[in-house]
Amino acid sequence: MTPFGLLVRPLAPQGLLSLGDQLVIHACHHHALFLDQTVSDALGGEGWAVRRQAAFESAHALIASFCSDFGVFDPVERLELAAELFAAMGHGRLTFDLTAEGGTARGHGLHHGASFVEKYAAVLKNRRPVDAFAAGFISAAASIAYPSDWGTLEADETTCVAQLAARPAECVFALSRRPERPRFGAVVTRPLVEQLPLPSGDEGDRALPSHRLSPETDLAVTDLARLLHSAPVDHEGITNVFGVRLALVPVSYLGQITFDTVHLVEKRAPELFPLVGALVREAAQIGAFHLLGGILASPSWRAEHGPVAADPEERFNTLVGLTRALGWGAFHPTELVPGKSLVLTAKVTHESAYYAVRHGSTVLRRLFFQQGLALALMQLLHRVDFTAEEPIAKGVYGALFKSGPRLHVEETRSPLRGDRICEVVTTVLADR
Amino acid sequence: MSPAPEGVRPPAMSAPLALDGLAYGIDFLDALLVFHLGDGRVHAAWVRPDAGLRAEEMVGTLRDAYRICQFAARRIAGGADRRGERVDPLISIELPDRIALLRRIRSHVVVCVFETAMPLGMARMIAARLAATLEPELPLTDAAGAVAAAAAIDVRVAPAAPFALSGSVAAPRVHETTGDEERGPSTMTFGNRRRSLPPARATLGEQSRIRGLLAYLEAHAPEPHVARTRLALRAGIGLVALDHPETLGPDSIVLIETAVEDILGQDRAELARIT
Repeated sequence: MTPFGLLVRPLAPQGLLSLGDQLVIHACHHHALFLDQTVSDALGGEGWAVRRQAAFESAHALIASFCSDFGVFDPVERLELAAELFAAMGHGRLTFDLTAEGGTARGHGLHHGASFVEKYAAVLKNRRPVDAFAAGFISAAASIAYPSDWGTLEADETTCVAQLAARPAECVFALSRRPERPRFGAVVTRPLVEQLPLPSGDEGDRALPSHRLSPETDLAVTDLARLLHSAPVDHEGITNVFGVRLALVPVSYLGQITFDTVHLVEKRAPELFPLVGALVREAAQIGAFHLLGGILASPSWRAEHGPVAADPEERFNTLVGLTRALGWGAFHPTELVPGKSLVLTAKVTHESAYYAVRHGSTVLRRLFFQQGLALALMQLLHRVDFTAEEPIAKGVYGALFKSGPRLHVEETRSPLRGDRICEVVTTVLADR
Repeated sequence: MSPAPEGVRPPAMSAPLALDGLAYGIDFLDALLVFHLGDGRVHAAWVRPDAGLRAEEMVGTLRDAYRICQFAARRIAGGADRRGERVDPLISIELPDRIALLRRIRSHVVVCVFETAMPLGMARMIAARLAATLEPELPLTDAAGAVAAAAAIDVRVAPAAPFALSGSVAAPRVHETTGDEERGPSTMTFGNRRRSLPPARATLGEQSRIRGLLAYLEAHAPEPHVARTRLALRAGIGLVALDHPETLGPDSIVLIETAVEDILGQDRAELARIT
């Protein structure tokens, strides 16, 4: 199986990553599950369609570009390439039994389904399929393999391992052709992001976060990038590293499910918008906490870098450096008052790039991921004991909200609102 | 002064208007009456069918009670002789089974009778809203002003009988008293021009169940610290309203149950059994 790290190229000044010509990020299953869940909470059954459509659009662009680059035209070879790509991204293993009329696809160890079982089997009795990303990806692969003017092959997940009452062994998708023309929005590609204007100014401009990090932080970025490049993908297309299940996720998918949901709620029930914002932020927080904390606590990281720094400033610098290697954006550790506040800035992030390409300017606060990331950093700096045997053990995250200080986060600047940079400030409030 | 003798005025002219539109959906409201402070004539009335109250039997006593309290209030407020200066107290009568709130609006008094299951603060709030809704509909003349001045001289003290009444009234009956025709309710159109209607509320049982569901969800949801936020989003109910189930409408319970089922993956029967 191809390690997905080998497929990824960095956009250095922006702190972003691309797969083929598409922007992607490394994200863990905690983020994926919570974000999907938020879309369902906000939109109900409509959430499945929103997620599948987003997956279809991003996967269609991704698979089509790879097929074009590699000169693959045979339908079976196209499906094989799609399955290889899917597994290399860490989303699981797909097998197709398909003709131009339709058929079935089977999924093993799918990122959402299998992770759902692992995380929630003991506490939930889910009855609905959860692999909307896989459904959209399969639909895109099948439609590229068997193109037709009569519409696309649409995939419905008929059996899902996350339907915990039945406990099926694998996920099954039924494909049938729908006589509808596919809809495609703008895909956030590398060339488009490279054209986005970065704020100008020399290194002495204090209003701008620096491209440059300290040598130690630079080393952290390089080392994590190397670890990610060589992260093993097993025969099921699963990448279990740093205590989480890691996958490459198209920024278009993440942005589309986030902001389509946000926009729909704003339009239909504006009073519920703060709730969606809070949950999208929570998705980023839970994902960043587990992934960044898992990296620092992992034996492979400790073997190279030794124990995690006790000094909050030093730990802050390292953590922010890791975000660049993960493709989250060119974040900069602007200010830290230990125990009190944290300022996190960036010239561009994956979500600001998505919103700028897809929707343009806005007067509203839209940097939910950065807000969640700042909260997670605050927790990792002040609430996690990295000298413990299992610093990010199961239950540690939940315990953060049972006692201790509450945190407040505010998006103070955003290029989407006309500012030069993205800036988020987190402050500590009184104890619970 | 006392109410005019019955039977002088044609029934069609003196029939109190029904307040069904205003009273609809307000839990624990037993009666809503509007009577003239001068003659005790019922101007508008609504009595819950199974409340066991009779509007025409109550108003005379309530009018007298209001007069007495007005007299006392003047003494309390002014101390010295300040005859002629009007004092309009808000009167609460609290009994083991009922609460009655009397509020004067110009020449009329609005009476709201609640069961004691209604918290006193909530009763006051709803009574104030009802009075505010009725206020523009009541005659603009302040004919009871002269009566108020006279009340200090001629006060009829109500008998010290318990407030609770026996028997049942299916609907407010026509009270065949006479009075000034200018004060007749013939132009009133309650229900069409009202400014606001107090929203229907969940019953106490439903409120209790909502609290139980919230507690169960927070105990069993995978990320308890955001469980309420998720529930609020799924049910389309604000977080503040979830914190105060007494403000929720009667249909909220279904929305909340459905949201809890979806979040925990349980079916309704199972949830009903557990909670």
